[in-house]
Amino acid sequence: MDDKAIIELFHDRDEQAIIEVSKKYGDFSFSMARHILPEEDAKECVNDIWLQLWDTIPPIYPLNLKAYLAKITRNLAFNRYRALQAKKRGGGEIDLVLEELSTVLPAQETVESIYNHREMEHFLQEFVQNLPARNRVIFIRRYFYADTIRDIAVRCSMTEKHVHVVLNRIRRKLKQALIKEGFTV
Amino acid sequence: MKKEELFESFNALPDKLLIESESTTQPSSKKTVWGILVVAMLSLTLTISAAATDFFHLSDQVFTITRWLPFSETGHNGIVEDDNLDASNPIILTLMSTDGLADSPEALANKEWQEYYNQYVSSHSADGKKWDTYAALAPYDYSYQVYNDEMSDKLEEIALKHSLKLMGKTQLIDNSRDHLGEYPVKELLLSTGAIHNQESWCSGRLFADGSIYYEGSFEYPYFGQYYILTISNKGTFKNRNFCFQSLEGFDEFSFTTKDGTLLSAAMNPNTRQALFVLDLPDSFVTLCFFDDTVQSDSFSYTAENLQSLICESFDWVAIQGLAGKSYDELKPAGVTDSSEINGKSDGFVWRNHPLDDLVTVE
Repeated sequence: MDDKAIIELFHDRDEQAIIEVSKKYGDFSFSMARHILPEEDAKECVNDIWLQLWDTIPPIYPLNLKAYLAKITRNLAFNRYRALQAKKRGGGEIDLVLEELSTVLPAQETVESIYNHREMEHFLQEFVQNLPARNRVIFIRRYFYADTIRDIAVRCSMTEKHVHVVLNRIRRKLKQALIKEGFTV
Repeated sequence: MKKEELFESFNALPDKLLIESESTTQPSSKKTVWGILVVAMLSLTLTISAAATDFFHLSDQVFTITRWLPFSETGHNGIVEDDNLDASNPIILTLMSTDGLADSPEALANKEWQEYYNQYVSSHSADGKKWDTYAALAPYDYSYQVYNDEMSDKLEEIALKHSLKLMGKTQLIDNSRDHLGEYPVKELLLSTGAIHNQESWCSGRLFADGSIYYEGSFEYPYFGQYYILTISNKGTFKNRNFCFQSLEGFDEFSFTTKDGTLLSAAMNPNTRQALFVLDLPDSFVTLCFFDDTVQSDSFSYTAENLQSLICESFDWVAIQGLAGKSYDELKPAGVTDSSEINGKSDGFVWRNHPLDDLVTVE
């Protein structure tokens, strides 16, 4: 079933929508959640995803169901991850992803005093859009989807080391751009 | 701002970018994408000739395969229903073996395996999740990516047909993580003089048959130039390839180093990639350069500049001295063997009994 038809089912409050979306995107959502959560939690997270879809469509009518689903998955999985962290339970690839991102940030948490979260989002959008195509895909796969280095290497026909190199250079560039834009002390 | 908040900021990325990265195995970059590779040549001053060498034409060395979803995309229940990556929209990749010229047993085996493997994976993708589980138990190296006995049987059949040995359960020396603080393969290449320039990044492997795989990149004035050097000893099937999307725009030429080593080369100034090949009696050596800069203006891709880079950074006599050597001959002194075997190529382990890792199929 195509995405538009699935969305129509949601709008019609037809529970078949859940069946169809889980059939089509169940593996996708689980795979993405699994990069952030342990397996059992990822499975539970997927159930929450369908519920959130049900609660938000309508009124939302996603222009791209898969992208919308990806964002919901990422949000729910990351929220659950933080809850697990509070209980000191380990996450998956996300620990490495966060560690890498921490190298980009200034040492002190002073950004909010100057810029709000929305400005950071805007900045990040521009930064990513200006990356060369291949680097953009690599960067998004790593820091949006929390893909493993191996997965990215396979996807982009690169060696894992090369992916490391590219990511490192992009992070350095991001850090420089953050500093230039005043996202620092 | 905390790292968690930065992570969350990615949620604001436009849908089109997410879809681009989701639906693309080969990003829409104009650059050719290279995969695992190859080669080596020699140093010193070089003389370029306009004609290709007698034995090497890039177009004669390649074959194509159809690329399907990687295992990691199959999820927990099997096939992902991704409209952009199904069988009706395959990705065609052009590969070249890093283990020998096209008519060599190594390259023929590689081609046969790649064709089988991609066809098998495309029709058995629901088995994908068995890959990790099986790899730990499989008799063969992780790099073959076999995940059941049927695939292992086929691997053995191909190796037997071409009279090649297979790599065993693990690779021998594998150090690509800088936090380990030691780089045995890099040290091997430096100590023998095979490479000169210090690289900011390095990754290397020494295989059970003495073959070497090494990735590096250069500092100033060649910052952003990334390379892979392979010295592949003949007689073993290692399943390694250069991978690129198109041969269009490649110029072929050859040149001779001061020591008289004749190198075959292919260079694409538009995609900023170059490949050098040296076919020796016991080894096949490849060296690939490609530009890795975010802003790719730092290094002009001309044959002359590549010559300079090669002269300053590699010693081809030393490289040839490494070719055909056994693991025991190459293993750097002072390296501590480890009895740990984790069965994964990224395990960074030193094995106690390297020859156990070569498997002759009978």
